[in-house]
Amino acid sequence: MFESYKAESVEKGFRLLLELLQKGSIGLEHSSDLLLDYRNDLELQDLFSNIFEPQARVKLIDTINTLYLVPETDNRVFGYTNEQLRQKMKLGDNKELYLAYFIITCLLALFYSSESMEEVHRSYVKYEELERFATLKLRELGEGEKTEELERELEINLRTTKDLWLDMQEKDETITRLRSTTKNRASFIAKVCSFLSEEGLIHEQGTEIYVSEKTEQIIRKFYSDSQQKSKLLTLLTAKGVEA
Amino acid sequence: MRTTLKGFAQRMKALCIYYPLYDLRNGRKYEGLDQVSLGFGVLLHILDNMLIGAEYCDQNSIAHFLKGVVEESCSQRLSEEEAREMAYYFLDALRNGGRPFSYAFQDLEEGREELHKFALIDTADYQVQGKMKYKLSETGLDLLFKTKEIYSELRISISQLYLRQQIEKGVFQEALRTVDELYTQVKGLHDRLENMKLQVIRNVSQLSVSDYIQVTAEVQEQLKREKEVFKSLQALLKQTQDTYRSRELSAREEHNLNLLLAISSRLENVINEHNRLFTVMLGLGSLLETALLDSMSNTFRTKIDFEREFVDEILQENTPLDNLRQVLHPLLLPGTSRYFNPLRALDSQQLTKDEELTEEQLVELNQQELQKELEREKAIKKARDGRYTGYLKLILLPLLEHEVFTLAGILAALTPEKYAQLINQVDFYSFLVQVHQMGSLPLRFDPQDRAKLIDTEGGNLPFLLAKLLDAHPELSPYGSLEISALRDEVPLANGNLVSNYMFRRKEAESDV
Repeated sequence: MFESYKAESVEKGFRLLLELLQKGSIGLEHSSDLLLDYRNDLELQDLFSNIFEPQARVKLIDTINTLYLVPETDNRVFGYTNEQLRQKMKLGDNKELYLAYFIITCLLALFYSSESMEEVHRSYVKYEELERFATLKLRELGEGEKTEELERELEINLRTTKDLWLDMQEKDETITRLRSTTKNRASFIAKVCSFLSEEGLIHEQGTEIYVSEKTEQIIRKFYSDSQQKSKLLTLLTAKGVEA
Repeated sequence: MRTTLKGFAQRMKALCIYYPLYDLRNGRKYEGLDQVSLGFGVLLHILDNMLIGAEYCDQNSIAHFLKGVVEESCSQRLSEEEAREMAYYFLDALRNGGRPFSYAFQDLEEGREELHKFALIDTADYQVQGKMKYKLSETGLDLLFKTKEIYSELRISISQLYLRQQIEKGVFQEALRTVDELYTQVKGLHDRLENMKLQVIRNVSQLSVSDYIQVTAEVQEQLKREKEVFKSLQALLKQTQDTYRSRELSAREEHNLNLLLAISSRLENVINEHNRLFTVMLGLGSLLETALLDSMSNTFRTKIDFEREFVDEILQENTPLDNLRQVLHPLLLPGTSRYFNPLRALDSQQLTKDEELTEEQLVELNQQELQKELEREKAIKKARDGRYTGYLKLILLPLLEHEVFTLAGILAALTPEKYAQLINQVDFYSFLVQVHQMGSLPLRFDPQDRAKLIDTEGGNLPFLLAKLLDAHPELSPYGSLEISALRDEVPLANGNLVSNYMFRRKEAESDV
């Protein structure tokens, strides 16, 4: 760690941080000066890794063409609350929100199982397959006693999510605009996907879902980092919200 | 037996890539039609669109193609909708529903099970909320070229051979086609290098350094050979054109000459593209270095299995809502809250109005866009011209003091900062290749020739040279600077190797 930082570096660093917070990423094509500054300036990198990243609870992910800013899991300032996310995804209640989170995780599961870290990997996943996968997984649930017990402790739980999902029709042929409702599974998936598109995480072509370079890089460099991963896995098994 | 089975896995892999096509036979949907042929046709159509000048194709274009083929060869009429459906069916089948195809086989040479994974079609391009465009993957290209009995390493060389024969025999229409194919093949090599880049980015350990060195050495060698042949082809074309130009032409000959000109100009494109590969190779070298560093700083990266580790875990543990949100958080854009700022109350406001843009406004918008684009390009060009002028100075100014000097000598004389900056500028290498190709740089221009030199987008080296000579009259006593490659190579601090060049000044011939 540097003893002190030059005012010039701090200024550059702050500009870079603001730009990243605003846009989420900067690429070589558009903001190449800032990016090159970052890459060539050890002091600037040091400033980020020792001060900015831990303080702002973000992580920079430098890839060959783009620098991404990733909010850490427990980021209160640059993260969202459940309520904000409900609004962004245009969902009615937390039950639906839970389901949306679950669908996103299922989508990632279809793209990233252990072998898909290889060079040739899936190029797209169709709505139907995502629907089948989620349905299968939720059907598997419920026979165990553990869920029953857990259910009592929490208001929103998997059982209600499962019922919500399984009670939906697979699709509704009478609807012309898929995204206008969340009352059938295909529409629900469409809604989640349009949120993911807005976030730059996927591209859609009809009912085919393609993951973006951004997702690819964050999964490979952030989620696969053993330290980060163990943090995430602890979150999955934790019974309450972290303080 | 050992020798019989040598390279067995490689051969099996070459065989595997045909399975998806044969599997089309089992499809129930179009039982009355020859689905294998139609699927193969779709691949050829995609290839056709990859040829020079054409755009990558989308689903509509494939539907259109299928409609035509089915109507002509199978005497069935398809509606637009049916054709689209059929296109989708084949696209989906030939992309295995988005998964790579995978075939297991017993490697008899090594005595172990092997799994070959590949894709035939890749996504070429997407636009947000627009159409996907498709291209053949390297394997897809391989498949098609193998049906023409050409080995991949020799593909370009063999096409070059074809082209030579076609020009010599005077079958120019076919020669034109061969040039287009050559373009695709060079592009294919480009893709192969790009793929290698991707592989390096994703996982550097999979591609061990020695493999890498071997592959690049092979490619380098091949590129050099091909380049020679291209030169001779250009000469042949010029010669052939000259025989036409020297006499009066019949209408048919006129037509042939036009074809020859088209072949020349397209060959020019192929050669440019081919030259670009040299630069890509250099980029690859520095990329590998970055990636190696990157992988060293990320030794803690592990594999991740979202199904087992996340989905199943959620089901098992009934993860609370808030924790699940946190787990997905890193994927989301940073959220910034907006606050009321009383000082901005008097700012001009944006009022939304439903208003369709008129034709004129659209034109104007387009023009603005165009203007911006132009300005951007201008800025890029200016920066590039600046760099090239710098490179020119670098190799020209030493001639004031020395008659003969080398690249190694020039580099050694640079300050450490200048040296570091220079070797990291990728276009410096293509500059060297370019001047080497030119053989010699003239140091004085005939006023008439000088007037003909104009500034263009790329390839304006002579223009920049003339400008530099204007600014440095002290160079004018000399006639030219000759450039030749020496046998040794100069290792650079960034791990790249460049040929050492020798520069020799030649006195001007007498002016009288």
